[in-house]
Amino acid sequence: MMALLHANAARAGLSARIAVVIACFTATSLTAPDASALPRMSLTAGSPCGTCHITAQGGGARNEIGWGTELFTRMVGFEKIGLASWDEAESNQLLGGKVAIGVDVRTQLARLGRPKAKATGKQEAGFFSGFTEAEKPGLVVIPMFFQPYVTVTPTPWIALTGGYNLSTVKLGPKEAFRYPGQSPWDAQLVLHGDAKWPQLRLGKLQPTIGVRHDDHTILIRADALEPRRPAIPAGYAEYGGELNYQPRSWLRVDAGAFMNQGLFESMNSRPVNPMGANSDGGLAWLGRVSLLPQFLDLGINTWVGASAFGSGAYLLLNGFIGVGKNELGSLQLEMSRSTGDGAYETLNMMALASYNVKEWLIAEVRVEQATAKAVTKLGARDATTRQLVMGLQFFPIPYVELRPEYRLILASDSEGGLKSEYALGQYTLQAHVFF
Amino acid sequence: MSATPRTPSIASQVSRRRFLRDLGIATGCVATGATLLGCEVSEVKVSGGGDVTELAFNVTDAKFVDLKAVGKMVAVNVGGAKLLLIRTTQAEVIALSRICPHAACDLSPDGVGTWKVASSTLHCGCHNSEFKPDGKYVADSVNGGGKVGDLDSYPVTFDAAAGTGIVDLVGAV
Repeated sequence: MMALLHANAARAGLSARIAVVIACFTATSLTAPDASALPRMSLTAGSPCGTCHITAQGGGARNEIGWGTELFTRMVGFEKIGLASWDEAESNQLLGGKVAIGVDVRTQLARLGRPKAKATGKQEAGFFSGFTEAEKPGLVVIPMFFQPYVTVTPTPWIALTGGYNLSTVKLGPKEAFRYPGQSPWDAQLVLHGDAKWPQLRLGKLQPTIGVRHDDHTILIRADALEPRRPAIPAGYAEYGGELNYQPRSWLRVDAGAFMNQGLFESMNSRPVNPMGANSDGGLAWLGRVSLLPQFLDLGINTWVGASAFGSGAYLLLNGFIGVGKNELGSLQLEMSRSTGDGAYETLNMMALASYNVKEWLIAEVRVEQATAKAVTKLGARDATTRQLVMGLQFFPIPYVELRPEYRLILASDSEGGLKSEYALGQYTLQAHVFF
Repeated sequence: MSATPRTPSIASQVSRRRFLRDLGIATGCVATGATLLGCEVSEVKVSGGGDVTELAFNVTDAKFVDLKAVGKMVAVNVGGAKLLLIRTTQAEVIALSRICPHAACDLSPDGVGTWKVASSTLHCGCHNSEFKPDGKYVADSVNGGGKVGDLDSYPVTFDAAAGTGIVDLVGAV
């Protein structure tokens, strides 16, 4: 990894100090998964995700335009903080543009876990009706992920791209960290002859389900029965293929067929397996249609669409609407509904609004609700999680994002006549380094 | 790695002031928003469990029959607690809370919990946290990088010959 970073530094005139900084983050970020995708950027820039990312789906490796966008999304450049030589980088590409590299590193400071009833002492009434004060989960630094990417483009219409999440590597006595259903790596062959032709992706890749956020704290892909563990995790990938076709600027169609190994692993580890117990080794399928009308004179970009993803008895439907004004802000509304064996049902909704205070300072608020029902051995189970998140995306210098947030979670879970609820409100801080 | 010494220009000093000013504004925005929401909150509410102080079980009952075999587990809700009973040895059954304190994953046998007979630990499939029979978190297990709390442990009186036992729901530690 270090050799690769240094090779890029030499080729692009990039200071080796950047590689050192990334390596330092590496040292503290060797667990946990995620990639990086910010759908609001598409709505406030008026460009599809594939403008900045290697694949049309968005997320993961960035192309030279994406890399350049990162370089200039900053409050101050390196030269303003006495690091002028760091601004000499010309590209994230090597070998005449045939190889591109990138990396995403994310660390979070947050309270980890859920409130726990006080075992001793006086039980004090809480802020919410009927609740009692509880012990706060511990505040910890959570290394979230470290994922380098490599993209090889031997011809303009072929790209081989992939990444490996080093957080999933077993190191010494520590076991690997990985959500059930999350793949440690993804790699795909991307064929895209001309803008009027579909993009074909083959390999181990994430199906284009709804809108890709790559954020495990967002509930839209969650299951309220276990709300902190997404049913479709960030880093989810399956062997298969997908066509992404945009015949008009306002119309996009996606279709794919995949193995269901990762999906089965995720679903089979839950209180009920909505796919059905014998569905391992089968196929998963995806269909998605989206309309992307733009009102160029007004600088307004929109999308509306739906996707269906299924395997065995499991069916996941997503609907999404988004509207954004160039360099001002965006509003996204999403819902997802899934059904399956075990009387399994989920219904999740999210509203997410962003406002560009500055190019390098984005204020964001999101309101979410996830509900789930299933029948377990202990009886009918019914769970709801509501979440309010307010935060900032702050880009102080190139390749660095600080994301302070306030999160309030209200969760309830009923099973076998027992109902447990908790409320957790906390500050969190995420730090991203990306290249 | 060595940086070239340079004298900060007026322009760069102004930029730094502006940087600090904007940083202060950003921090203030978040702090204000959080204050309006009541800052940090940590509360719980349990209802519907009844005023139960102990749980009697018999491994011949269909509900607990899995406890006949060493290494098997049974999930049960009782008295406001979500429990996991584990037959750790021929002579012992233990009772732990079954919601992992790390990310609230359900450690029931139908969820992500597995009793590892060889190491005598309870394994959480969400983030590989592990717990000893007394509920204590095993410090070197991987859990997302953070410290994980312990599971509640409930005293169990078990008669292996009769296959019967009693869980003390009040004496959790």
